[in-house]
Amino acid sequence: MLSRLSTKRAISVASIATHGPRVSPAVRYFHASTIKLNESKSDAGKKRPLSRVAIGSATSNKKYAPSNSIEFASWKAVCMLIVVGGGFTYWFSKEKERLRLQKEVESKRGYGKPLIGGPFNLVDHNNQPFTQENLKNDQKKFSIVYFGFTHCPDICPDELDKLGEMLEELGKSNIELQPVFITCDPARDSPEIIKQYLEDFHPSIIGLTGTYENVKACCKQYRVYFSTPPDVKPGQDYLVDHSIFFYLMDSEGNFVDVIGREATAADGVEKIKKHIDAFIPQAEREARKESWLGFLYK
Amino acid sequence: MGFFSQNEDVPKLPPNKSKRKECWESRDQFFECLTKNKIDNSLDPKEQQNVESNCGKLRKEFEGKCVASWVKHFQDKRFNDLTRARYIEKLEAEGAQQLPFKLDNRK
Repeated sequence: MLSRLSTKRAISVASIATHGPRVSPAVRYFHASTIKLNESKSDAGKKRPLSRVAIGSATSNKKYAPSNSIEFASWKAVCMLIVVGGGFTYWFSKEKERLRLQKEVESKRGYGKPLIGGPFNLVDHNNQPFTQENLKNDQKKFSIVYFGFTHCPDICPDELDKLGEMLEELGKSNIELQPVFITCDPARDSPEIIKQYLEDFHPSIIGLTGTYENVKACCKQYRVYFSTPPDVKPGQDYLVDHSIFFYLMDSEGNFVDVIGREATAADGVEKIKKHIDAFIPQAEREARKESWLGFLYK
Repeated sequence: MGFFSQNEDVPKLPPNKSKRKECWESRDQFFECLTKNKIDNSLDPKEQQNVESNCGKLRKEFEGKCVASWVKHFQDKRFNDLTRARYIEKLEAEGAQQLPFKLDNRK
C-alpha cells in the first residue's frame, strides 16, 4: 500500500510540474492523443500502457485515488488501529491477570489438606446445623467468612458494616455471596443473640455459633487466634481478643484469599470480583491439565 | 463450657447499633476533652485527679453509655494509639523511612 501511495504522490507532483509553462507543448500533445483514443472506443483506454496516460489531465488523479476505494492511511484507519489494538491489549492484560490469579490460588491450595479452612460443625442463628458442606454449591457462589463476637467494641461493627457495603456493591453487579459470621465467644453468643446482632448489618449474613470445643476447632481450621480472658465469672463483662480477617472461600469450600482490615469496601469488592471471575471448578481444572493444551496452564 | 451456660437466667444482650453509636459519641466527646487538657493516659492513677476535675462530667456520661469492658478498652486503645503515633513521629523526625510494605495494619 505504500508503493501505491508513493506513485500517487509522484504522479501528482508530476502533474503539478507539467502545469508549468515550459512543458506545455507536451501536455498539449498528450491531450490531443487522449481525445483521439477516447473517440475511437471506450475500452481502448484500459489497454493503454501506463506511459501513455496523459499527465496532468483531468482524469489522471482520480484514476489512482478513486474516492470510493479503501484508504489505508486515512484518519479512520488510524482510529481503527488504536481502537482494535487497544482492545486487544486490554483483553490480553486482563487474561494475563486472570491466569496469574489462578496460579496464585493454585499455589495456595497446596496438596492434600488445605492450609486454611476445613471441616467444622456449628449451628446457625436459626439453630440449624451448619458445616463446611454448606459452603459448597454448584452455582459458583463464594462465601466470605468473618470471625468476631457480638460484644466487640469497635472493630467488628466497623468490619461488618464494611461487609454490608461490599455485599450491597456486589449485589449491584449481580454477584451473590454467602456471608458467614462465626463467633469467637460462644459462651455469650447464643443463636438468638447473634440473630439480633446481625440484623443491624445485612439481612443475608449467617451467624454461626456452637459449643466452645466446636468453635475452638473451627477457629483452628481457619488459623484464627482468639483468647477469652481466664477465670471469667458468670455475667461478667469482658472482651475477646481475636484476629481480624475476611476469608474468601470458593464454591468448593476451599480457601481463596483474605481481605484485611486495611482494605476498603471497594478494594474488597474488586478482589472478590477478580477471584470469582478467575474461578474454575476442580473438575474443569483437572480436565484442562489433562488435555493437550495442558502445558499452557503449568 | 457448662460453667458459662449456667448464666442463662440473665441473658446479656450486646449493645445494638444505636447503643453503639451513643457510646462512640460520648467516647469522642470525652477524648476531645482529654486532648484539650493534654491528658494522655486517662487510666493512669496519677492522672485521676486531673481527669476528674476537667472532664469528670464527660467521663461519667461515657461510662454510663458504654459497657464497662469497652470503657477500659477505649481508654487503653487511646493511650496505645497516642504512644504509637508519637513514636512514629519521632522516628520520622529522625529521618526514618517507611517500609514499602505493611508489617502491621492495626491502627
